[in-house]
Amino acid sequence: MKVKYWYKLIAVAAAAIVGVGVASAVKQWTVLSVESGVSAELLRARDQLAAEEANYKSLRAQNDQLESRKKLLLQSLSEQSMMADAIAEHEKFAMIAGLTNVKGQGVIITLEDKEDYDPLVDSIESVIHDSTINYVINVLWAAGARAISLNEVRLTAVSEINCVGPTILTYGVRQMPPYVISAIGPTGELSAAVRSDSYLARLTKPEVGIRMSIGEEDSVTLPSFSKARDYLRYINLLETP
Amino acid sequence: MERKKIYHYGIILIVCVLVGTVMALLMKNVNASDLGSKSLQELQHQIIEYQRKNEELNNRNARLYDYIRELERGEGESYLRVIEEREKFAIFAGLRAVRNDGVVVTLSPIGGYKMQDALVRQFTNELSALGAQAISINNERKVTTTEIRTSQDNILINGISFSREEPFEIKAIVDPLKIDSYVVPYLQSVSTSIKKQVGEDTVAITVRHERDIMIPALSEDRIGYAIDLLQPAD
Repeated sequence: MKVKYWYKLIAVAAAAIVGVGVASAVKQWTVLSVESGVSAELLRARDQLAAEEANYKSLRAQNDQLESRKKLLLQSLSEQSMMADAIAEHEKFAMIAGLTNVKGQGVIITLEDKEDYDPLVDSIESVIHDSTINYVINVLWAAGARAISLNEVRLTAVSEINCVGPTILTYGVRQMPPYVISAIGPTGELSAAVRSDSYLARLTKPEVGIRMSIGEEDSVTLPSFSKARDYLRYINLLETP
Repeated sequence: MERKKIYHYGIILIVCVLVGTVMALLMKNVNASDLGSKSLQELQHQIIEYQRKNEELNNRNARLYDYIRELERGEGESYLRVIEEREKFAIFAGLRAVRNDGVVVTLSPIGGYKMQDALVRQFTNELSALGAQAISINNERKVTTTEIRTSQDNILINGISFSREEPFEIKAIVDPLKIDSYVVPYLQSVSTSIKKQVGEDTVAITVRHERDIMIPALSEDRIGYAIDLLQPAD
């Protein structure tokens, strides 16, 4: 009787192994057929992306050349007395507007979601939101920052940092974590303002878990806003009195 | 009896094979959705992003080319082009007063409630996300360096103190075609959700469409003009 029982068990185990074997073969076959269907579309998309990237590089190189030429011409024109004041003011306004690359002392702040964030267990504050980034940036402006960029996108008077679903956009440019905020300004004040802020202190406690690092730098370089977007599309509704 | 047993084992075998096949089909669907939608969608997002950037760069390069040609032509035309561009920079930076149709949001504290800086920031951020091209708060122009920060009984904006017990008026120039259809209803829904959070009897919020709003320029004594710590990095 005991022997028969064992036979039954062996038969069931064998049948189960055969079943899994057949099943994985079926799985493999169907996945391959799905992959081949999807991969044609994927390949086309990859080719198109590569073409757009190459086009972007070429346009960017052309833009750099034209900007250099413009700069040289403005420099040479500024030697003429009639133009000197106008060009000096032109450069100053471009700098205030965020339309030139700039460098100076400052801080680099890196923000990341809680490690292994689990939406079922962790607080909603454990992920970085647009409001978290806007908050840090506001702290930095209040502490005397002169210029700020977020993930290499320079902030301007119309700083658009907002969420669309789970994605944070800056002027429509999609941002991925880690979020790196680079600020030029009085290093000690900027660093102290972030370190002593009570709201940020709460967010970085282990129970909330936001990861934040603050680096004090002798030289931080920020790109011009023009590297990300064309500023003219942000003033087309404005009329001067 | 022996035949019955074989028949019995045969059925068990078929059942196991069927169960295994069903499991495989379920796994297939998971894999297919991963392969088919996620990565392709990601690529399509990137393509659209590059197409947009390329179009903008193309237009910018064409404009730059014309600009350079005019600079090369001679002093008179060069001067005019430099002044014209300088004024565009100034407008973008918030250094010039500007006007057009827009919206006015008024936040009025009720019964001794002290305004929170986060409320003012939330509305200015919402307006920026709605495409506002110029914003002022209590006639202080919002520029790159503008902070909105509580300091005891006041809120500091461009370094200027405003009492937290007084109304805050936020003006913004937005696309006139979207004001009635989208901007005002959206801001009203934001107001409703804020009132639910902070309480109906704490702050009165009004949102209205206003024609020909004037947004002032940044005053020259504000920190927004300070470029002392910035050096060109070309």
